[in-house]
Amino acid sequence: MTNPGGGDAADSAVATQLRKGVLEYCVLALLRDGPRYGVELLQELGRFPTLATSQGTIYPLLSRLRRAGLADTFLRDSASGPSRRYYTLTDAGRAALQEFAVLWPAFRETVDHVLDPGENP
Amino acid sequence: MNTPLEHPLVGAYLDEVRRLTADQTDERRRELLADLGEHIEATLADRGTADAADDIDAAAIRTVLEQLGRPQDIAAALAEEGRPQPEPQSPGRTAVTVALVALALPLFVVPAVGPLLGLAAAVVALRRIWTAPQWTRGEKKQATWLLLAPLVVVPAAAFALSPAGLSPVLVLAVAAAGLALPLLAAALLARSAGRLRAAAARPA
Repeated sequence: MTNPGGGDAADSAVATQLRKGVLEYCVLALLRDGPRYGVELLQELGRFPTLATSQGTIYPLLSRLRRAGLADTFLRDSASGPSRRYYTLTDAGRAALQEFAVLWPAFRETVDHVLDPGENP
Repeated sequence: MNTPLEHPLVGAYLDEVRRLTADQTDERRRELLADLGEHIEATLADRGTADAADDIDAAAIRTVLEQLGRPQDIAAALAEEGRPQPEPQSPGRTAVTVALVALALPLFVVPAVGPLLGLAAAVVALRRIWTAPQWTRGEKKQATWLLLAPLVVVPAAAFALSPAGLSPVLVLAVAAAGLALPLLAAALLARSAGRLRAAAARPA
């Protein structure tokens, strides 16, 4: 992907607004294959510049997912450093992710179509 | 004895987060600060820079804090995510609603006053469901349909089967099928409310 908005496009108000709606489902998706601890999760997220946001802001999001019953946490000792708080998907979290995965393609196509009706009839 | 959390740079950073989140509840602040503390320690440990506590590298700490982001942004995120969850109702209140949903149909068979009792139970149950903030709109609709469905399903099934002759077994089967729908509604409502309560009761 090119970055026509310039170097700080990832920080623009539009990018922030867009991220707000999808970031939590991306986080749920990253937990789909098994529990991860915070730092690990953030490293994974960091691989996608489009989703990039300052790392510390993910923790309030994770806290909300936990309080909403979409994710659960447990502590596990680590060979080095502090014991790690692992996040794992609950059944409700899996269901929410599934719902998003079903809606997303239609959503994406609709937006593409509205933006460029000729290209995407 | 020394941990990265005792480093002055980290201390100043966490103090700033603490200051900017003063308007949030203690529980949520404590959780956030614990998360950030663990993040800083874990990141340094994962990079192998925190083995010897004495030579914690200030440059490494700066990098971790930079990647965590500005305390203002983190405080803003906490405020944003802090919008209240729907408050779960007490187990007792939920139980009464669920019981009314389950009992409305069986009450119809009480001699004489049955239909009146059943109808009253159904009306009260629906009222309690729709005024409770703990269920989503979708859940309320689903429960309403399941509760009212027997009114259509049972007569329709009886009508469809009547040419074949209504044996007592068939009547019982139709009644059981009709009864199962409100019971399903009750079970779904109870499960959803239980989940919300569990999520609300979970410690920080």
